Amino acid sequence: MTIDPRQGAGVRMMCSPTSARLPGRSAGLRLMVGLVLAVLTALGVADAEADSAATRPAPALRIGLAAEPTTLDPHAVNIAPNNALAWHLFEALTHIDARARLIPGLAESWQAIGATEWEFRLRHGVRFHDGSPFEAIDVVASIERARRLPNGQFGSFVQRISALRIIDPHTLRISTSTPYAALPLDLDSIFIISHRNAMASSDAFDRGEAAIGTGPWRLRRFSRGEGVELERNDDYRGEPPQWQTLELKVYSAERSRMAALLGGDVDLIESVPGADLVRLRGNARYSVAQAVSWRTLFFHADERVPEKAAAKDYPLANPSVRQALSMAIDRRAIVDRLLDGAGLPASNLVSPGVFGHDDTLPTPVFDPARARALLAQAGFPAGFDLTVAAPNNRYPGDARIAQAVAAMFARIGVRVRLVTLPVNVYLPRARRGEFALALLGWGSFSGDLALRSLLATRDPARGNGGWNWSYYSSAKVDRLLETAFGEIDLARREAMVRAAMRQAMDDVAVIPLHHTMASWAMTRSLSYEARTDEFTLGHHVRHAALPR
Amino acid sequence: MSRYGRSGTLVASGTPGRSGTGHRAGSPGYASGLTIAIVAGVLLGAAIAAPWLAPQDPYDLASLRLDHARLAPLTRDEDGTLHLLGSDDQGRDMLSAILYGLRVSLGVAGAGTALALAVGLAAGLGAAWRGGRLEALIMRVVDLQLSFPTILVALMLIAALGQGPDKVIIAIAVSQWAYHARTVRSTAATELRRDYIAAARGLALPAWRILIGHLLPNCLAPVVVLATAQMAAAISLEATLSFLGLGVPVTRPSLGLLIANGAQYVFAGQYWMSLWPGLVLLATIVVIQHTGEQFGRAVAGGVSRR
Repeated sequence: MTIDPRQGAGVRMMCSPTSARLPGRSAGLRLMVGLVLAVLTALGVADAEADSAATRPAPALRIGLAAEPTTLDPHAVNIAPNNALAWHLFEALTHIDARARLIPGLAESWQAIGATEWEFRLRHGVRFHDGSPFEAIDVVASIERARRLPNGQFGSFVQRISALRIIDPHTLRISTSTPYAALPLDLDSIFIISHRNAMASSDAFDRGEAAIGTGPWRLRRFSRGEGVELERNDDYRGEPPQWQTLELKVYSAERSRMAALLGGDVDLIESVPGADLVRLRGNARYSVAQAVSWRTLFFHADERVPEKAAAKDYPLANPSVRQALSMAIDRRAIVDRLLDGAGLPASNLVSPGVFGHDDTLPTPVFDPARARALLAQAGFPAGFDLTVAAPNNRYPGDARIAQAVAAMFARIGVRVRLVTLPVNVYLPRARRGEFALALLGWGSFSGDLALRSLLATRDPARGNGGWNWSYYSSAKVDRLLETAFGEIDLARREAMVRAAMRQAMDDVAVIPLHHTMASWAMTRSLSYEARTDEFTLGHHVRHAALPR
Repeated sequence: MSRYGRSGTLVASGTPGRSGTGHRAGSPGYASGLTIAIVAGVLLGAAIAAPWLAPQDPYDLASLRLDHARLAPLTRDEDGTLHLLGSDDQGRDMLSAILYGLRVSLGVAGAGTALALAVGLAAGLGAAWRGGRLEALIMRVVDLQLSFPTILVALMLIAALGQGPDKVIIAIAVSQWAYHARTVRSTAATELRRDYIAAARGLALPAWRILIGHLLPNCLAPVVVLATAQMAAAISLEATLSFLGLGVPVTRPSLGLLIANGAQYVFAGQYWMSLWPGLVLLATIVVIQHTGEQFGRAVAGGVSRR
């Protein structure tokens, strides 16, 4: 019997996005490929980049994604790769544009007609991919499915909806249990499926039978680990895509994504590493698009005092210790040196320009000496031991950032045990509260929604604090948020959200790092408007020559 | 070879060293053997003496500075320290990181291989000695394990156990013991039919004395050859796991992890972060493989003259 001890099957199973590109090849081989690449680059050979993709006319568009969609069921798993894919096939009542502003989607307009009731006017003449017309009953079916799907992660967006009334096929009234001004925003997350598929299982979506929406693309093929193929929906209500077919391939390793673009395997890639952006800007064959994204990276600091310890012996329960940790981090150096400028040091939980961002909050200063003094005052002059955890394949530079932070903590006497894990292992363990300091990136186009998920007192029944790994709890923040959700007046509502944001940041409820930059690189013949929400949408990719 | 043959046939098989390969001074084989020996000596020496040779302690987090990150080879940082091989993205001196990384790679792979060898020897000898159901059971487990790719077994273990050097050692041992067990059992089965075993049994020696004093030494040769080859496989297994972010902690990088870290910057033209550790890893694996082959030839030579 001959056995190749390093066959790739196992790698593919455990780390599918990484190895999807090299089916059947071994991880060991990829290591060697990495080595060879290093050698080639050293010799300057990699400069001879293929430009076949730049010149070939393409009715087909091929995109290299950074993370793999796990399902086609739009109401199941609320992660960015799935949502980005869902936006190709489905639409929602409301959409957000490239600058994160709310715009009409399948609803052409909406208004509050009372403290707890909204009326949505739906578009006429919209058809699903199977030819059936889009009507209010489909919205009701979609909201109900999102609410009821076992283990569905979109229920929190419709938690506050208490009643749905169909006035006519194109008018829908939605009541909420309490005054709730963020409803139109929440509905941006509820993808509309045909009411015929209201009872369909996630598997039926994955097989394609139920993956029928009103979006600009129809599904051609979806198989886990091998990418997605879509074709243009010629009946699309809006401007149809400029491409006949769209192929989405997944390259989770940054370098293999770059290699795919340079080698002509794809026409556009998302999430370009900072160092490569610098280089691509100087290359006439490619163009790049970049914008400060809605994603903020920060550390949740678990404030729960362990059972057998006194509160004063548990450092993270003390706000001034968290302050010291925050002060020990050189955010500028992380952004400049690790990310090659592809980031913006953060003071808030949401990016500048996003609803609820408080411009008056200062970016935490880097001052190791004062951090050390703060620790001493708090009763930890000799520092303490701390577990810091981060994913190693989710956010740009995540593990490297965590490592740099660990080094910065070491300089103020905090002894770090650093844990870096693939995201599918990391998230469940972080959610179980296994790490004292846990890195998380969060994208939100509204500060109140971010605060509700991340820092409101944990209350699963009301959809609050689902991602509050800090176990932070502030009556003031909770109250401000609750009032804000009931406030219809936009300016007054934003003032409340800002006050809540300020309170949480003053308490160092999280240790903010930076807002990431969303970036795309593409062959010169294409153009793509950088999106704050980081989504890569094939229907928004254009021929560079054609006017918008 | 004499080390492995305290009793029995191997001792009589020829003079150590020259027996198998037959290289003599001046032959091409001798020259390459000498090169290999020198490289092996340098690598081993570097790994052992790393703390004294390295200009920086790359494991001291407090000494890492981002403003000293990604310096090209032969440049000085702001403090005037020369980075002969450049520095990595965390500000680690590459030379120091490689010296320490080599230690980690060799240590983890060596410990894993040794553990695998111990377990494999015990299982293989036990199976051959007892025979019957125990043998059938052990060998079926071996067959089952060998039908899985090594990397798959290792990945499943890491997923179940968590990360860390100790976990990698266990993963290496678990994914390799079966090779040893199978080899030992087949050798032992042959040896058990030989006269010296019958003689030992005739003397009514206790089982453990026959097993350890007579059988074991005569089963060692092939398995030691195998272990050398497996050591090379273990190094690349550790490197693969670390490359995938599942091996040693990022704050104590092995060669594989250094390569993975540096690979981020290959397209940006900053080759040194993965090239140097890559070359060292390559050299290490080649040296060990070669040594294994030489061992193999020596043993085969010995056997043929038996």
